[in-house]
Amino acid sequence: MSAAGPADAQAGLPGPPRGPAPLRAQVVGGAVLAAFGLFAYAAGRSLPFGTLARPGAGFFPLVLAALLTALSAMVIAQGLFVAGPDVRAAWGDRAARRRVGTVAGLLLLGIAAIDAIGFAATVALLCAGMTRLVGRRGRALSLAFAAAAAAASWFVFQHWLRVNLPAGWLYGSLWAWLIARSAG
Amino acid sequence: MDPFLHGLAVAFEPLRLALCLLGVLIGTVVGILPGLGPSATIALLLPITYHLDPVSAVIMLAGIYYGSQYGGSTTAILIRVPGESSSMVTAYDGYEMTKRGRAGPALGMAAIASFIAGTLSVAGLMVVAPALGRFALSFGPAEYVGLMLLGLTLVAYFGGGSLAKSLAMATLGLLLATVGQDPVAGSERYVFGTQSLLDGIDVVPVFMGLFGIAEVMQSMETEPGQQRITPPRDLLPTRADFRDSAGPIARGTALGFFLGVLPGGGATLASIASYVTEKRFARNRARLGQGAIEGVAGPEAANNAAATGAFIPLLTLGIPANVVMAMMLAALTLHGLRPGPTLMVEKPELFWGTVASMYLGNAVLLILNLPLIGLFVRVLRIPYSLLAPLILVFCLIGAYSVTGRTAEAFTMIVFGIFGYAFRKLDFDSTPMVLALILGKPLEESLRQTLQLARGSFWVFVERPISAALLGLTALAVLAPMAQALWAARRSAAAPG
Repeated sequence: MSAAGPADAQAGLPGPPRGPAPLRAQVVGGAVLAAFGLFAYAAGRSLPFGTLARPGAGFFPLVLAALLTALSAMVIAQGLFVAGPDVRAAWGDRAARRRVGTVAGLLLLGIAAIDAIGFAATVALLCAGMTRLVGRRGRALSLAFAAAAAAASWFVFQHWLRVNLPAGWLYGSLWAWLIARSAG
Repeated sequence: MDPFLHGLAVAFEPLRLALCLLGVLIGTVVGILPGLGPSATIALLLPITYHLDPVSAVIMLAGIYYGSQYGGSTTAILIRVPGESSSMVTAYDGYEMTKRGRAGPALGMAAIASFIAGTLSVAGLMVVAPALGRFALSFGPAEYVGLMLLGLTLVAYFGGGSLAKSLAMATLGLLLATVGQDPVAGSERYVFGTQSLLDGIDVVPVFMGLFGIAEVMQSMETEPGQQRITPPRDLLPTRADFRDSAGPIARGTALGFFLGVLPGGGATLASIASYVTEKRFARNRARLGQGAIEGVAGPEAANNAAATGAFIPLLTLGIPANVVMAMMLAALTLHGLRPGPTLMVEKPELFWGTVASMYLGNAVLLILNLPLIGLFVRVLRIPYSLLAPLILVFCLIGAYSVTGRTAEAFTMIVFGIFGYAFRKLDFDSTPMVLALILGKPLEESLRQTLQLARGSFWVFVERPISAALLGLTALAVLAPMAQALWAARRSAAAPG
């Protein structure tokens, strides 16, 4: 790895463009793990530690939290002294990040809605979103695929295998509202 | 009449033959589908077996159990979503093989390794069952602590890369395992008033997230239309594949059989232990994790051998080694039987009939699975933009069905994002998953040992098995340090 040194500057030669200082992936990872360790230690301090002869509920987690913090410090130290990949380079371009973010967003949306709209509708939402927004497939194909996937998964898992999946409370409420409205 | 021949006669009665076939067929389907495990299926079918005689009931339920071990590898290899937790490690190399157009040989080797291990361990069951059952009883909490620490350290040691990084990830996994109720006193830990965290963090959503969801996220970095898996070339393993797999199958079978016998061991631990062993002994160990057939053959042999080995403590001592065996015990009790040392004498047709049916079941599973490879690999012809949402749906079903609560699906996504981020940071999540599985039993065993020894750590070195296991653990931690020091001294001493 080279950098524009003082000799180059004195000679008036243009050095490589100055970017932000490298942020090594191992250091960032180590810092995240250390944060977990410290958080676990702080959150577990109220647990009874007990004695070696009668270890309490806090014995194992507190020892592990301290160990995790110590090991993370070693990971950070290693990352500072040994060359490794830069974290920004590993993260891909903006379009890639947007696609990955869309996948995470669709999943979170699906899980937030699953109890209300039910499993089959969530599958349809997820499949339509993934094929249309991420896979850039046509609208008709996305909708047809979503409908087929929802129907097939409902039939196999809910109807046939009777796996415990949500049916959706929204439909019951909607039905009750419609009945009440028509009666009124 | 020879007891085994008598067992064959019992197993070959038409009704029992049909029930064995039905059991392995159900087991294969249960193994392939996420969200349905053998324990749940056996629990559902338990009332039906009340109408059968005990031998027929056990033959069918056993078929479901070892059949599920065959099926679990299919989705692990094809889409990196394991049908069963015991196929988690098969996903590493199996899916890499799929990406390289070798899904057929991976599926074929999984079936063949399962058949060989299943058949050999049935032979083991016949020969060493009583002696091995008694040896398993010599494993006390101190020995379990040694065994689990050795397993965790070996995963970190053979994982490649930085030992500190791997050990830190393993420690995080152990810490995550402490979430929920304290296994001894029952008090709450890291629950933060959340009802769903009270039962702890289940490994299934964690695995689905770390590997299934993170894999889809990583694939989505590539432009749509360019994400593709190399179309499958061959459907069956080559001669070189068989040569490379012979050692892993033999080691996986021996290891899996032994770990299956130990209470709490089970097929998942066996497959992980086999993978770790192959990291050290496989012919192409440097390629392990990048699509080496040894990474499929060893763990698949181990989980099938463990499934058979688990019958030993049940049939010879009346001790269930895992949840599925507890279901089997319930089935036997339902029929008024008490498994234990006298079962082989009092009910020889049950013991030997079950053993004989296992030979038959394993052969049926091989015949059933090999022709289906061509059908399974067709899944890979689906464009990735359509396959990716289906993988997410499979993960969602798998996670949701653990408890039927949204919390598990949410856990899956959290770990999916975590797994993706840590892949980017070049951290391997494997030690974390293993530690999450071993965390609770490790804590229970450690606290039991300390209580029994009145707080003295000497107990771990006073007991020979535990001392040997901890010695190997220390060696696995110290060896890389000694190697690094040795290399530094040699480079310092070298001229120039």
